[in-house]
Amino acid sequence: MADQQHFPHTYYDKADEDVAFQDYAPFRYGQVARDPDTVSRIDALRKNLDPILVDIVDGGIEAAIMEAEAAVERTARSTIIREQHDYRASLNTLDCLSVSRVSWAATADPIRMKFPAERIYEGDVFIYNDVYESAGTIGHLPDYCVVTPIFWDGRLIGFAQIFGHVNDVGGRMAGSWPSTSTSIFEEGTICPPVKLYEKGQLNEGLYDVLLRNSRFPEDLRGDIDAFVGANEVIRRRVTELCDRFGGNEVEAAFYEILDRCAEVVREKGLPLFPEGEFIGEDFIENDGLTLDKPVKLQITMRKYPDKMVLDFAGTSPQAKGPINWPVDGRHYSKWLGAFFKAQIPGIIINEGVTQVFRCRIPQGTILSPEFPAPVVSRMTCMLRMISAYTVALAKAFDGEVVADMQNIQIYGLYGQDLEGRLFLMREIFGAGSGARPYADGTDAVDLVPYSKNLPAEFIEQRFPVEVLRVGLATDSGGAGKYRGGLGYEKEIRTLVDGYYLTVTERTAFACTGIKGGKWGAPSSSIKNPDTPEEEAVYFSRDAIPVKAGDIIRLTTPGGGGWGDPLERDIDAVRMDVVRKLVSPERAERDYGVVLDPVTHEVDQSATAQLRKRLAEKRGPVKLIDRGPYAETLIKKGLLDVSDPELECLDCADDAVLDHYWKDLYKYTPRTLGGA
Amino acid sequence: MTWRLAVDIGGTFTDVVALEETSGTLHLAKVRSTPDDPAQGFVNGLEHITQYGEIAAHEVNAVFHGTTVATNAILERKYSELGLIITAGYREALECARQTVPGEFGDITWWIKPPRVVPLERIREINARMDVRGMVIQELDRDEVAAIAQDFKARGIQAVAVSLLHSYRNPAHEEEVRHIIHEVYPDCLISISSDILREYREYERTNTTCLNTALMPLLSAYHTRIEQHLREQDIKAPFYIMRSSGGLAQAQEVARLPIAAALSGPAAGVIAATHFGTLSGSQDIITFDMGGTSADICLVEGGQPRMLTEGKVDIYDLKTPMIELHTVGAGGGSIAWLAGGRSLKVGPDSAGANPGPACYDRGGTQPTVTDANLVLGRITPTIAGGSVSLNLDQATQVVAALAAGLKLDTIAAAEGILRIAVENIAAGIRTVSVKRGRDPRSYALVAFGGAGPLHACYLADWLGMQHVIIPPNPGVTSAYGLLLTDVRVDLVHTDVQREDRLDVDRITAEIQDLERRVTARLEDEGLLTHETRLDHFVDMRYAGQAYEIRVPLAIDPATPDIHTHIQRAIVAFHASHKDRYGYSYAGKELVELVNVGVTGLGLLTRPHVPQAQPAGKSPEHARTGQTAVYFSKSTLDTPVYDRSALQTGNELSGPAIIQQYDATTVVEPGWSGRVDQWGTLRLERTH
Repeated sequence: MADQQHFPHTYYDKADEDVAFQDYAPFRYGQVARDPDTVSRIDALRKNLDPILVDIVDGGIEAAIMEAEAAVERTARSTIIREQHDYRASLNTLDCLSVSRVSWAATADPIRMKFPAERIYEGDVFIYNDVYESAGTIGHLPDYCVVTPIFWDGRLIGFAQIFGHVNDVGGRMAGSWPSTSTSIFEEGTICPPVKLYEKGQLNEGLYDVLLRNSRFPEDLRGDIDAFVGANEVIRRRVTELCDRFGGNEVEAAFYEILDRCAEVVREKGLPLFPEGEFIGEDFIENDGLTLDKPVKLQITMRKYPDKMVLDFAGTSPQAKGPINWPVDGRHYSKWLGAFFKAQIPGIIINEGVTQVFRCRIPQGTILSPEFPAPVVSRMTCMLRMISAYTVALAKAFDGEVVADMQNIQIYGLYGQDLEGRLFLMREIFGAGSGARPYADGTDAVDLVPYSKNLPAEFIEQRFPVEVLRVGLATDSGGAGKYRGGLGYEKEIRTLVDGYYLTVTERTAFACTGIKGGKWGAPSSSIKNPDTPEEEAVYFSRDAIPVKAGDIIRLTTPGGGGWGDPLERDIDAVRMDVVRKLVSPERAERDYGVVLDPVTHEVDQSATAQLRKRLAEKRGPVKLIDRGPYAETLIKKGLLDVSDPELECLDCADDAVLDHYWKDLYKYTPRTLGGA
Repeated sequence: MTWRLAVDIGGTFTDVVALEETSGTLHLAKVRSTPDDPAQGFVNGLEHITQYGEIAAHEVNAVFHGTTVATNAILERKYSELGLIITAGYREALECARQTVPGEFGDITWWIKPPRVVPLERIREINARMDVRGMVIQELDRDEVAAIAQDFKARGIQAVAVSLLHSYRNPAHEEEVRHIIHEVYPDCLISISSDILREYREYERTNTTCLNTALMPLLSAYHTRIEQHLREQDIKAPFYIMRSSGGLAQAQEVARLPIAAALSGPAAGVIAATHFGTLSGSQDIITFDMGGTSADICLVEGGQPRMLTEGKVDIYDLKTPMIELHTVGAGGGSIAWLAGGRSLKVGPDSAGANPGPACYDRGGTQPTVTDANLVLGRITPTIAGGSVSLNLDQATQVVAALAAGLKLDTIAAAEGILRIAVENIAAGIRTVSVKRGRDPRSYALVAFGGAGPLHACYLADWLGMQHVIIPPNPGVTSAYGLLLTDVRVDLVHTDVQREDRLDVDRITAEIQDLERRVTARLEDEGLLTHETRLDHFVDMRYAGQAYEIRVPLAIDPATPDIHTHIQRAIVAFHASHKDRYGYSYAGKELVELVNVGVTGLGLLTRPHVPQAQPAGKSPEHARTGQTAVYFSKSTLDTPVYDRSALQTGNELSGPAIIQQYDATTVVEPGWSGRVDQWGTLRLERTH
């Protein structure tokens, strides 16, 4: 682990960082040399570039990306792309920097590394999903990436690219998401960076191979055609800008746009952060195979006058199961960099942020796994990285930060429909967002912008399922002066025999409350609730057998609360009860508010007394409240945290472990797979 | 004398036009809008024009109205309290919505969800349930509904929305609920979702129904007020209101379905622009209506505006037929600012009418597009026929402050504001044209609204467009458009069927049912109609897609066989998909029919519009002076003309400024113009 001596407070030079992290995984896996001619030509132009032109190019790029993404949404087939917006378009410079607003994956690096410039032609379209040949830009096989080179005046000036999460790319499980895989080969077909089109000609043989390896070839073709079409939109818009303003000028503007982002983060963002070293950690529930063993993600945040470095030393080694996330430091920086918006709402983040804000990853961890490590559930790392960062920020800002959240999980059902055809229903489902130091969290929202849930009237048309309820899970929001957002509660009835699946986190661990705010309720799936056969299922599961007529009630986690719940506005608590977002029992227990059971009127004196009593009993509030599962593990010495004195350990309880660990392997085979 | 009156209420002004049907005599008036009580503005405008035009009550043949009352109520969330009855299990449908955080990745940390149309405490669940085929799973319990109606009545809730799962497939339960509420609580205003939006996707249908219901008390009070005034004035003519679809409906129909009038005002502008474009020989146009806060853009081909089946007002997706208007937050009052202290942005925030641009001298301290135009000399400090003076010093001061942040001089910053605003508008024009595979250069730009003519040539240069058309009275174009519209009824029915398993008999029955309902509505509405027309359409997609494309179903009495028409529509669908998205799966994949629909038009007689002959006077006659204007990189001495004095056949070349009561037109260098026999100014690029 790099210690602080490597980082004098005057730390400035990039070389120092390289020395400090020489034993770490490279910050950027891609090795694309910049062409010296281009560099000098563009640098010369940048000196006198009209700033208004830069604004126009910036606006033009954003409009092109929006237009391309809208085209994908309208024509793609996989519900995860179309309804849930799990795809992203971007524009890359010649040296593969993403100029458009934050796209956390997929750049043109592997294309540049594999194909010399003289073999990239106008009319080419590249495709890949090969995680380990992607130069650390793609996280798992269902993300197909399509890259189209952009030429102006016969010269290559950049790339349009889109990646999106398709329904199925083959492999062991329908939907290509085995939560117990031990090798990437179990997870689907691997397509290295290749040309799908050369000079406008489709390579039909290649396309046939890709489609033949999917359980839903028509969906896959619809998705890939949508990506190719949308890239063409970006390519055309960018060449139109070049026609109007000159290709050199537009290219120079790309670099100005990147530098502007870096400058704004450096000048407006960094000064908000205190100097020093702050450690945050969070835990993935398990690696999919050993279910009672959490996996740690640790961040040490170090702020310098003109740079912030996040050191991931302390993070668990590469996992046997598929929770590894194999991209590079550059991409982690873009992913977390978007959260500068919590400090500076409205700030524009693009790849420029990586000049100022850098994630450094030790080798051999879950964030730097080696081929052929399984990776399909890398989403768990993505989400827990945000949580670990939240804890580090809470320490840096004395709790004046947005509380923890877990806003993406998947549930699904597959089998044969009433006509005997294979069906796969999957929904990316949001949850409650974390409370803020100034407002409640938001109920039932997804982390991915524009993501949409599936309408019941769509599900019932398409799949052999009845949707009995879609709503909010009462009492799921973490209590606080500001309450965490509520998670969903959904009930479905299957009309056929089949299998239920979940890809989820925060089923035992809870979303962390901050500065006196309480943990949010974890999620669960309950088979046949309120019947003698009732059975609760926790953690991610591939294949829980269900029979026609079975009901599943699933909930998603509530966001962490912020601030002391005993300081919450009494009328806000009353309205939450009236609206059935909080139960009368929890209003008393968590908030110390006593209400008339019929009229819901507040008993002011009883409330004042109860709040006083609860405050005395409880003692001073804690900065970090992770909930009973984590607290029990910490108390028993099964988990390490860096600043135990800041942690609330009030609700540690051995019974919690019994509850979660009973029947742990009922739906997860103990022996699986090979290398 | 037989007069048609049109009243268009905008944010700042209420425009009134009176047209005599046989002579074509036209009177115009502008009165100040009264946002606190919009009906008052209507009354003032009507009184003004009838007195000024000496129009007697019995001479009024029809009154037409375009209004932003519904839009503003949505934008300002000033709707009435309502109740919602929904299927058990879906009480929180509005809370969950579609789980969407607008904006960018990371915005979830700070975005706060705006209030829902109906808060949870006024939502009631009922146990009745249909399945996806419209078959009853759980019967309706009348007592349960009656008790809810009683409770709403006791709480003084004026309006109730009803939205039940799969009602688009079978509305029986919703209709029964409406009936029961009506029995228990006769005064209650009710709308049911199958009546408002008969399409699948429960959140969108429920939310649209709730918004509609929330607007009902407001709109019915508004109409009552206006109709009462008309009665007092002894005006017995029918009263029509423009809807977002560009079609008219009578006031009681709008009171039932106010949501369909959410974009009433801008739709009329498109109709008028289409009219003026057609008159001066251009059927393929892009309309550009720029006012104080925004610019509305629409693509028109073959004299037909493009239509949408859904759109957006504020944060709400509205699924009602509307003219495909693209709105850009760029108007005269749009504010220029520095994002992140660095990047120059214009809009979407606007100084509005109050305080207005800095040069209005009413307390505005931020630079706006109008201030930039004034600094550049594109508008003169005295406008509106001398009735308004603008403060150039104030404008210069605020633009200079922005210039300092950009490290530019004041003129360069003012031009920058203009360029960014025009670039935003150009992006909007590309959205409606290039994005659809249309080249804007082969369209004429019809520019109107208070600020449209000011930016038209600049914008056309930017996009490489050759022709610009400025209607005779750009500021009241929308009001004029109200006189050029037909009565319109749209009805849609969702019935998802795959191409290879079509139940043609069922579709035929559905179409016949729609035709019956549309015709009945037209008969109720069409007091002035001389002819009706029914257009049929289907919405289709490839099995597996979630979005449909609307294609016409060319049913004619000669070929009653629906099957043939559907096959033709499928061919048209493949072609349309290729046209929009660059590829199709003709011969490769099956198509799904999703909706069938019928549009009924009750055609109104068109008023006579006179033509003027060339009068022989030279344009010098209309010249009122000379002013210095900054045109990219140089200042030119520019003649100023009075539009009202320009005559048919007059020609002039840029640079020139043409002033009139309601707008200023800038003829850029490299452009020339001619006034045609309809009084329209037609500008052409000569460079």
